[in-house]
Formats: sequence, structure tokens, C-alpha cells
Amino acid sequence: MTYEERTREFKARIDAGDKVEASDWMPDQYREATLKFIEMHANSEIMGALPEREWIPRAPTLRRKLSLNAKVQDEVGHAQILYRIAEDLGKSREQMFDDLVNGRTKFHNVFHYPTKSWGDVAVIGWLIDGAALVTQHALLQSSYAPYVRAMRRICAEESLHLRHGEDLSLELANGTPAQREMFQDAVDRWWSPIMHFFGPPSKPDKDVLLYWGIKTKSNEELRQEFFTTYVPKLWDIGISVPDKQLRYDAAAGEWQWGDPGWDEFWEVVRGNGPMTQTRLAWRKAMWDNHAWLRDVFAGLPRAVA
Amino acid sequence: MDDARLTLLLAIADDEMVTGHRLGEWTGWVPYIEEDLALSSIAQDEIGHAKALYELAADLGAAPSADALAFGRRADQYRHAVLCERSNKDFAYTIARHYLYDTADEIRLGGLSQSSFKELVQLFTVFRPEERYHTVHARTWFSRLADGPVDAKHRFSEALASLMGEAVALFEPLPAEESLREDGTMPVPSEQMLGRWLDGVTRDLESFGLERVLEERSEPAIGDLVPTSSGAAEESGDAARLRVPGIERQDGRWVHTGGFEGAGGRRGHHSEEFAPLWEEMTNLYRTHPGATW
Amino acid sequence: MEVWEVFSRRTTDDPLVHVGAVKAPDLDMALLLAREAFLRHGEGVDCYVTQRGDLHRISMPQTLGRGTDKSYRRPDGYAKIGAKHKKMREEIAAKGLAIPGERPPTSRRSDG
Repeated sequence: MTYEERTREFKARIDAGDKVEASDWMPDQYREATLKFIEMHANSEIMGALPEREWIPRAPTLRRKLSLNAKVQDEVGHAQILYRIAEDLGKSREQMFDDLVNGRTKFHNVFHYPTKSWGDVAVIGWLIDGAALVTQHALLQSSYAPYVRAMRRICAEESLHLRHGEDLSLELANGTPAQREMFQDAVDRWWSPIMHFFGPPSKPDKDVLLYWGIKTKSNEELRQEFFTTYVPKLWDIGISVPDKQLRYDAAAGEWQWGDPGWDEFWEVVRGNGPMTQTRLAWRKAMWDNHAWLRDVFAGLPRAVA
Repeated sequence: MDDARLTLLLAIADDEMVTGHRLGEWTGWVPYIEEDLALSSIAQDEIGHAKALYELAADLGAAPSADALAFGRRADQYRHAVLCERSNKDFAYTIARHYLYDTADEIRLGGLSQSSFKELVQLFTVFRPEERYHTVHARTWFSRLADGPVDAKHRFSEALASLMGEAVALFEPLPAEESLREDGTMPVPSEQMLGRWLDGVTRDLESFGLERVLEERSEPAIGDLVPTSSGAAEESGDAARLRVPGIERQDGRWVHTGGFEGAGGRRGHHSEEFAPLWEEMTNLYRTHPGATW
Repeated sequence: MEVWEVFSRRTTDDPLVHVGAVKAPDLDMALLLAREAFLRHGEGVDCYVTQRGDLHRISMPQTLGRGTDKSYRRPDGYAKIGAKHKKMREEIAAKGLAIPGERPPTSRRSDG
């Protein structure tokens, strides 16, 4: 069979709903696209730990200190799971880390922003995790079987995080005027990064990830799901969102929303977000200054006492 | 509540709280992802222990709530040993401190297992399996680093040498130790626990050819690699250093000598590294009195 | 003869689970026999074996997520969240502070 014939056969398998294992033959384009997608997902989990972890040392109660630490720990755990399955597609974890800390690969836009208050912890835990869960749920239908299995575990943990985030949010929205303001302010600041998170409206027929069934829903479908799940919940507790045009159009059966503009999004994607360089520089410093730790496991000779 | 017992309870609780706080600073930064997960769990165990101990203290009337004890006190009211508040430096330093602290904690838990302070003993039965796991974790890393390549071994032994004196001060007697001895709260005196711990540490160090750590103790290290929440590394001031207790080799054993004058953690004296930790840890709580979170 | 532990997955979306063990003199025999021992009714879509000696048990399994209160790591730590939101929604509605705007007919929860 020629490469083209095998590729056609592979595509037919995927279109029929068959799943791909790491040891299966796959076209180069499939392997590359899957690796790139999972690697970015893994990068986003490990970089996504940073804005939240800043608040573990500042958490205002013992219970919150514990639950936030456990929540960020889970995100690091997701990175662990995802880097593992990405490795099986042919790139070592060390190489992926090296590419990340040197700015050669990317991570999600929402993790390039600073956190300014405990309200941000609530918004990240509820709305950003909510946005992530909407997209991750859709990945349960992916054509790449190891990714599906990883997402099963990750989605289960994320639904716990969502409760954690909603709990934090309700406590603030129901708290003192200062706490309520803290939360509203955080929603206002994070809204356009969340819109950006779903990406610009795209052309599904041009999307290589959709073509190969690596992901199964378009940016716009996911954004609509997010609105439906979270906007009524916010409105019901008297929290507004900073998009004057946002409304549910019953006749069309979909949400109308105001374009937040995409210049900032593209800047962030290019690595020029407000915290991009700081966070990468710290991660690089940690990575470079602990090269000796990797040597412990690299079979270097023991020191002579 | 009896003040002497409260000082004991808070000394242990504050040790666990500050230790858990420092370990929690690693979450998300450990340059080895699986180990990041392990350190986070240990951080949570320690905070969980602090929480249970503060709850007991609050039940006994020390404060309106565990949170008030954890976040509502002045810096000089914390009774943890200075060792616990030292910044994380790098992974070798953190593991060295983890080993020294958790082996000492294990001795302390053992030394109090026959205490007349029943509520405390009851909590310890819950803590002990977790603490035993911490020492297994610490010793497993100890052997990997102590027996590792030149660079790892060097970093680890330097860290141990700079921490050794302040680790001895974990056993600084409480101001009320005499009355705690009399009523059976502390069946084993601090000095005796310290002897047991030093013997164990000496054995561990000798088995990896690291006994020089005990001879060549250095000044506490300064400077931190792990980013604190503010996103910037701490600049350590040059505040007067606390003196660290001495140890000496006598009759083939390492023993503590010269008292604890100047050690201070149990009396609320802390190093220049505690003020920024305390500020960060308690600020949000203190800024919104009466708020719930 | 060696003991070989057998693992299978029910569907491609499921994790490997331990389903039993077979006795066999070598790997090829173990692979050959495991499939009929455990998957002949169509219990799964894949099957793996490993020598028992290659499985190692952790120490102190009693500390796994137990010990001091770790309910914050589990859904039951946030059991009343639905009721909390409902109560607040009613209070906000009574005060007339809810944000107006048409809601879609069913707000699907994606965290179920």
C-alpha cells in the first residue's frame, strides 16, 4: 500500500468512529497535529498552575489554603498525565520543557495574565475552569484513544474544581461589600481573556484538528455552551458581565455577543502577554538551576565520598 | 486552658503550619512534575495537622477559631522553630530541611505518645501514619542526593551543614517545660528527644560518608530560588542572625552542648525571613476582619 | 510455572484494569492463554499481561488520601453547592438585584 492509500484508510477509520492507539500506524500530519495539541494542553496545565499558586501562601483560611493547594496540585497532575501521553508520540518531556521555557512552544492565553485579588482565584476556579471544562468535555470524543482516557480522569477532577470555584465565588458574592466588589472586578477583568480563550470564530472546514477528529467541536460551539452554562448563573446572583451586547436570542437559539477585539489575543499568542516573560523566566530559572537534579536520574557516576 | 499545654500545642502547630506554608510555595514550581505532586501532598498534610491542632487549641479556649490562631496573631506570637521559616532556596535545601524536620517530628511524636495530654495523643494517632510516610519520602530522597553525582551530593551536604544548627533548635525547651514534665504532658524531656534524634541523624550521615556535615556546620544560607507569590525573589536583609545551638563530638557520639540561649523560636524570636512570610500569609485575613471566605 | 497478571480495558475509552492472573511458562503462552481466560465473552477490547514479579506494592497504603481530613479533595467537600446557589439566587431575586436578560430554555450544567 502506498502512503496515500494508508492515509485514506486511516482517515476512513477515524470517520467511522474508530480510535487510534499510540502504537498504531498514523499519518505524519496526524502525529504532528496530535502531539502539538496535547503538548500545548500540557504546557497550559503547568503554566496555568502559576497564577493560582500565587494565592496558596495568601489564602485567608486554613480550609482554603488546603483546597487551593490541592486544586493547583491537580492541575500539575494534569500536566503530568498529558506530558506522559505526548511523550508517546515521539518527543521527550525534557525537550518539551526546554521548548516551553525558551518560548518555542505555546500555552493558553488566559495564563499570561496577572492575578490581583482573591476574586481572581474565584474567577479562575469557576469561570476559567468552566471554560476549560467545556472544551475538555468535547475532547472525550477525540479520535486519539490515550487522550480520551486522560481526559476522562482530568474531566472528573475538573468537575470537582468547578464546585470548588463556584463555592469560592458564591462566598465572595454573598460576602461583605468589599468581597462582592472584589469578585465583580475580577469578572470584569477576566471576561475578554475568557472570550479569547475560545479563540476567534474559525472556519471549521479548514481546521486540521477537526479534520482528524482530534477535537470535535468548533470554537463557536464551545463558546455558546459556555454562555449557556455560566452567564445565567452569574446574572442570577447579580453579577454582570462586561459585554453590553451579550444577549440570548431565543428565535435564533443562540447567544449574540460583542466582539472583544483580537489584537490583544494575537499579542498574547506571540508571547507578549502581561506576565508571559516573567513566568517563563522564573520557570526557566528553576529548570536551568536544577539541571543537577535531572543528572541524579541520568545515570551519571556517583560522587566518590 | 492551662498556658503550659497551650505553648506546647502552639509550638507544634506553628511548626507544622510554617513548614506546610513553605512546602506549599513549591507547588507548581518543582522541576520534576511527579515530585511536585508529592511535595504538595506533604504540604497539605502539614497544614492539615496544624489545622487540627489549632482547632484543639481553639476548643480549649485559646482563641475563637483555628483561623484566628493561624492568621490572626502577631509575628512574635508564633512559636515555631526558626528552621521551619527559612525560605526554600533550592530543591536540595528543601529536601535537607524536610529530612531534618520530619525525622525530628517523628521523634517528637514518639516522645509524646505516652503524654497525659489525651486530646493531643489522640490527634497524633491520626498524624503518625502520615508523618511516617513523610520520613520515608525524605529518606528516599536523602539517599538519592547523598549518593548521587558530585553536584547533587555537594549541594545536599552544603544545605545540611547550613541547616544543622537550626535543626537542633527544634528541640529548644519550651519556657514551661518544667511544669509540663511534672504533670506528665511531656514524659520525655526535650533534651532527651534531641539526643535520640542526633543519634539517628549521625547514623544516616555516616552511612553516606557525610559526617563532616556535623563538623563543618555553616551559617544559615540566604537567598531564595523559589519565587514567592509576589513574583520576585526575597532579598534577605542583614538583620542580626539568631545564634544557633552547638553540638560536639563526645565519646564517639554527637551531643548537644551549651544550652539554647539565643535559639528563640519557641519564645517568639524569629529570623529576618519570617516577617515577609507572616505578612503574606496573614494579610488577606487581617485586611477583612470578620469576613468569611 | 510463572504467574502472569492480566489487565484489560472494556472499551478504548477505559483505563486498564486488573482482571485476574494465569499460570504459563513464558510470555507467549501467557498472552495466548490470557485472552481466552478473561475476554472470551467480549468483556473487553484489549489485553495485557505482566509477570507478577514486575508488580510492586507501595508501603503504607492506609495513608492514601486518608488520615487528616481531606474532604477538600473530594466532591463531598462541596456537597451543598447547588443549594447554596439556589438560596442566593432567591435572595438576589427578592431584592430585585438579578441581572435582567433572557435565559436559554435549559442551562446545561457541564460539570455533571
